[in-house]
Amino acid sequence: MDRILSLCFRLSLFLILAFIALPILVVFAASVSPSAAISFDPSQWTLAWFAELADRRWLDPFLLSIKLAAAVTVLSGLLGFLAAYAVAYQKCPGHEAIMAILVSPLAVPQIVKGVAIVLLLSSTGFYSLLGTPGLVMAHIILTLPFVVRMIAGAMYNFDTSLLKP
Amino acid sequence: MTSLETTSLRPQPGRLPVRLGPFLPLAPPSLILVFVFAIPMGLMIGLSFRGSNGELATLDNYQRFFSDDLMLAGLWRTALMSGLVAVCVTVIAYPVAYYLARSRSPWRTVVFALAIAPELAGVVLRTYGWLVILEDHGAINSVLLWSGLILEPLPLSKNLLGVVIGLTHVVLPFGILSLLTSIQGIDPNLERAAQILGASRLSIIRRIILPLSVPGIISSLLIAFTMSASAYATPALLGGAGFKVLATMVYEQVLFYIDWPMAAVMAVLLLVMMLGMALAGTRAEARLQCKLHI
Amino acid sequence: MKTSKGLATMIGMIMVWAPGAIAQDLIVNSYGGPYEAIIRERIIEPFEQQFGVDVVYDAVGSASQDYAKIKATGGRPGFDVVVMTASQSLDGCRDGLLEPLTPAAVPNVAALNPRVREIAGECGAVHELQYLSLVWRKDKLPQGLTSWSDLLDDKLEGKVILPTFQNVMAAYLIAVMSVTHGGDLLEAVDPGFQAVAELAHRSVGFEQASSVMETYIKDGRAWAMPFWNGRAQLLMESGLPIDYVSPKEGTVPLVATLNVPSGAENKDAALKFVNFWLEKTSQEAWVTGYKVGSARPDIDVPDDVRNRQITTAADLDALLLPDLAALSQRLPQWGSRWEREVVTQAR
Repeated sequence: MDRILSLCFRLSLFLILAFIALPILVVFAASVSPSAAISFDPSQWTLAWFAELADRRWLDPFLLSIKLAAAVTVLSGLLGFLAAYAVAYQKCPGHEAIMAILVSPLAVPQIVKGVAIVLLLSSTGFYSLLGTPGLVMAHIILTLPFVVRMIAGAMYNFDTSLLKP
Repeated sequence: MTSLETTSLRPQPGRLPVRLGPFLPLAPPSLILVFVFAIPMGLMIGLSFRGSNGELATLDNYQRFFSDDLMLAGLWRTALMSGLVAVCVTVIAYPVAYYLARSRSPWRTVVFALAIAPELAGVVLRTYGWLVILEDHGAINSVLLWSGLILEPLPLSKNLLGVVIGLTHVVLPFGILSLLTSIQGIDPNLERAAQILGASRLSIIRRIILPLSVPGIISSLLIAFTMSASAYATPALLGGAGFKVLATMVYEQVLFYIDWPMAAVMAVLLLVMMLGMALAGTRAEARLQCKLHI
Repeated sequence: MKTSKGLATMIGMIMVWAPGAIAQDLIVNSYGGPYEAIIRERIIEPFEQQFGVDVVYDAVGSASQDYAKIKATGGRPGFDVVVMTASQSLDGCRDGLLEPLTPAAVPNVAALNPRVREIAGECGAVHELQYLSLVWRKDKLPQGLTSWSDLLDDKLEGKVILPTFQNVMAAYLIAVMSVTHGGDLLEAVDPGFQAVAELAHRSVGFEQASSVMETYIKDGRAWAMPFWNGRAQLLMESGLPIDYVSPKEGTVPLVATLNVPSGAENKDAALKFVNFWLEKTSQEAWVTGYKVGSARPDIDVPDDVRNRQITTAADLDALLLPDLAALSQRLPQWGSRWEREVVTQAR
């Protein structure tokens, strides 16, 4: 009985991993296919599309993405850690409700958050923040719920009694 | 846990009755949450009550939404789609999370990387990958048609099925992570003890693992529901012309019809739905956690 | 309180570090696809050489998405010149979000056909004219198509691809189908909706992006479709066995415009760019490169281009011209009807 179960478990694990990998493989095949039509024939594969990355037209946006990601990672990680510390570690009063508030940006479609932020900045005259600073702030809101959830998830499992004298 | 709460609530000499200390680390994240999320959203909510003739507080837009059967259908479709994805994600994520939490095999790292890697590829790319696989002339249908098993392409995309497959894939890593942290928190000695006492694998899973990972299951359901309900690219690409959910309808109102009060109404409804779910979920989680710890 | 101090420094650093080095460049927002390569070669590069201004090309967004951005930012969308259509130009002008492009600011505007100028209003400089054409595969339909109602012919059962309503082509299709079946362009559109609903029932389906609709014709899943004639001509010249026609019942034009948001950062360069695109030589280069029509009656183009494009006043007179302001007001109502009556008919 246990052996059948273990076999089933392994099989399902394998199928799930195949499910996860499938579309990624398609995207990979697309990236090395010679034309817009996707080719699964490795003999035709080419790295030509990757060489295009060196063009300023693709390089500038690519570098901006990396800059943005770096800034948002640092800021969001820091802010998320502070929030998770208060909620999950110190278990401040009302921590369930505070957690719900912290992850609430997840519930709003990105377009709504985006338009709302743009409307606020432009209706209050902060035009200079439109652009990269606005992007960084908006992405912090986008990523903060995940950071808080992940860190809080790990912190809930801490045994706080270890820290008592 | 109980002792911690009583000490923090006990008034201390020279301090405020409720200590502010535990709230201090919340200040910086709250600040950005207030200015970049709460205030803009307040503006949006205000917009949903704005009338076409400049009135500041009218229910006209809500009336327009609730008297339109197409929009109501979109609301129900959103709930159905998100519910299905939440269940699929949690069911599929569970074995992976369990393996990751318990395995000592060298393959564990590979499985972990595979489980999380899709997140790096971006939603639009992965959805595009699914489109290539599921389309009428896509990979699956081509193979089946070629083999003669079917004569007409199976309707795998441009419908609810396609969207649920695509979204399940998009949200899966978050489901796995939610369950993983929860299962890792279960003491492996419990399983060993049960095994020594002669319990079968199946009953260990049913009696120990599943009940103790309820918080993880709830948080996985919750995060999957929330992310699906606000996802745009996957329903737009895999759902086809008639497949309207709140998120795609919001896009349409913002970018095509430029009717922002109506977009705001939809956003508010989505927010209410999600906040209700999140609150109920965290409540249930906390209650179950209490019950299981005592 | 170390953390919050560190945080403040960090935010400060990012504010200094992040703003792009592109503040001096002229940012032009247009479309991607075949458009982009041609616009770079025929317009942007000559402009850069002549005026010494660097142009950054932003291909993201459709005309209505770009207009939404202009509206949300109160005329400061971050780009200086944007390609849209006449209906957005009219809306934006009314709301004060777009810069008026008077002959004083853009001298070449005076050279445009006055009727076309009237259609687009004061804020839209018409740089290109296309029309809704009927495209078909010559290898599948050797006898060709001549009428909008040919789309409903039995031989095209399951072989027509349609746009979704978010593609402005859909509203225009309703209008021409309405005229074809005894209605008019704006008010009596029931016949149009009925015909398109029947068409939807016999179609392969709907696609939002014109570039995706193209793939259906390319791989033969569709044999016919409504399509902008400029892109149809490009497809034809790429070697596909297709042809297109302006059907005998007449058709509506797509009046493409150049616009400058009222809060554009590089307004001077933007106006120069618009003027440059309307130059006689630029118009000739654009018309022969992108295979479209022009609102400048004085340009010299080869006969084969002239025969198929809108280039003369007579070509203009033959068009069906809906009142664009009235049409854009009816869009939500038409959209709702489209979802109810047309999309539900698809198989």
